[in-house]
Amino acid sequence: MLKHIAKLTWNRRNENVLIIVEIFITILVLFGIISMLASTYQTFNKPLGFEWQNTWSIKLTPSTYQEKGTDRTIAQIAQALRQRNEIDKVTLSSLGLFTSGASTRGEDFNGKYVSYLLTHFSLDSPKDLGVTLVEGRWFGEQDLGQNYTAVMVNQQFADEILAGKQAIGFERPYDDFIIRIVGVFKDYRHRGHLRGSMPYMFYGHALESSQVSILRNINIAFKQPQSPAYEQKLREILQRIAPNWNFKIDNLKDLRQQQINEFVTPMMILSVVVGFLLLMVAMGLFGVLWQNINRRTKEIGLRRALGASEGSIQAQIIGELLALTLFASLIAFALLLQIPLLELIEVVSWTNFWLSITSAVSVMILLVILCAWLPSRMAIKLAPSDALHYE
Amino acid sequence: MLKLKNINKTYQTDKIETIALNDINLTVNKGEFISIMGPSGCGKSTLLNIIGLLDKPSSGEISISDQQITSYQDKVVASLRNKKIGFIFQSFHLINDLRVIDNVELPLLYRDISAKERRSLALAALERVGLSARTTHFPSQLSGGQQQRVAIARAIVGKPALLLADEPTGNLDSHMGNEIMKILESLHQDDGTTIVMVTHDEEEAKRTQRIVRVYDGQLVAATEQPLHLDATA
Repeated sequence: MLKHIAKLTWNRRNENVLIIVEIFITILVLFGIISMLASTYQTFNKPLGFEWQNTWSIKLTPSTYQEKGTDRTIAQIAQALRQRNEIDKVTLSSLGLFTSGASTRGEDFNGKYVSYLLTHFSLDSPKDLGVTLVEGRWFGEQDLGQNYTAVMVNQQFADEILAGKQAIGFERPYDDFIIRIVGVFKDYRHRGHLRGSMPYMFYGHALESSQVSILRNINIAFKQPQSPAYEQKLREILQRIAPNWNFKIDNLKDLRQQQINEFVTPMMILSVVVGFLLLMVAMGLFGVLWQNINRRTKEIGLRRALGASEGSIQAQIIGELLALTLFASLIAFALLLQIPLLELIEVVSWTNFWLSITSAVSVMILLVILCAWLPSRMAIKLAPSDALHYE
Repeated sequence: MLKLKNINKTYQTDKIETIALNDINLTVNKGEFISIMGPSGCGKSTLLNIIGLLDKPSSGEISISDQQITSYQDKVVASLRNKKIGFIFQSFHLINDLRVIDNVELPLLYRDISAKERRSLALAALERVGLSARTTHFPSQLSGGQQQRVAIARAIVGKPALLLADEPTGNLDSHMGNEIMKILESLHQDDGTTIVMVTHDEEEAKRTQRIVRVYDGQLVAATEQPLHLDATA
């Protein structure tokens, strides 16, 4: 029977082109949607590389853009916060957590143009933020007053940019000074769950340094969770030191949730649109299959007259459509395989590719069986004598 | 071979009940070649469909090869149609996308036999109707007469006990119609096949052993033919 189905499908290839094209396009659409979802899910579940629970962020805005003594005021604020009993850790950085802002640097590195993210920290901040050290050490007092500037890089930076070179101790000119890698950390996705990893570099600054003026994001980790009412108390502490400054205080939990909501809402709208699109595709496919099966009513009547049972007719119809699905899937597979092979789209990794193509084809098979089931059922319910004379 | 007892067939709509067959009693002996005649719409095709288990009677009993049909469950009747009955239709009903040999093999697809045996039986059937040289042709490449011969080969490939022909020459000219009649006669005479044929053609009917006439859904007469063929052959 399989040979018969293959023969019939091949001999009817011209009539089946429309169905094959429809199935092929649907597989492409499904592949796109599934690979995007899979990539987002994987990215979301990767570790952020820092701790955000029970932590509030304070964004400092001096009264004027070039206010003198900003560095000293920031150091005073940090000092005052560290003295509070309810506060466990105080970290300072140039970029806030769970914000879309990023400082990116691009340059030629060993003859290859590379880009990476950059954040400035006070010396203890990476460690206090819960960043995981993989190799080397954290920033320390020993880096002060040296003829190099200490930096730390993430594992991805070491793997992709240094590409096999010993990371710790690696030095290179950077503008008018020398940078030296003193530590390698696992990762730091300050932009949140929905943005993927990139090569990353940390700069460390002592609180006494004039560079502290760029560290305008303070994160405070509490020993115990604080109620929203604590914000007022915190604001009073801050305004005592810098009465004319602006302080934007947020719980990182809220910032994180807000960021997720900003992503989820359009995604939900998109998924409704995609759902409707798939429904339209299913209805189109249903119509084409209905017409295809309807056109074969006489043949179905004949087969039943020759001894085919209802079940074998239905199995044959569905088998033929599965053969078409297999054919369309093979074409789609050959085409989509180029994406990971040629690394055309970043989100379609090999893992993603196999997951997406398998899921897309499986959904398509299910859709075809569902769309073929009803018309084939109706066709076999017609008495063979009526089917033979069907016009 | 075939026994119909008090067969009735009515078609029921919301307001009207149409009687297609009314109390039909008919016996066809093994190896007999009979024809069913009657005006259009008299119920002869309905009768043939009921004999061929393509349709279910409203009441009455049918026996084929001494086996009474007690169940019209799909699998049961499908198996009986496949093993005991061969069909020849007026409009051939060949599948145009399959080659001649594949069309002839069709009934065997629903039996548990090997591809090799299917091919061998199909080739033998095609040889029986004189179409050995056309096995790889598609139906559209054949004349009407040749297409009906393919349909006959398909009907006999499974060696059925009963051959049902619904106006087998209806779509053919007299020359080709005569060729088809000769094949049917040969199947009856040489192989002892039992044949029930519906026809409008009086001359063709006269070539069978018995003519059964249907009028308004009732058997009105059965005429024994001068025996130019041996009914017990």
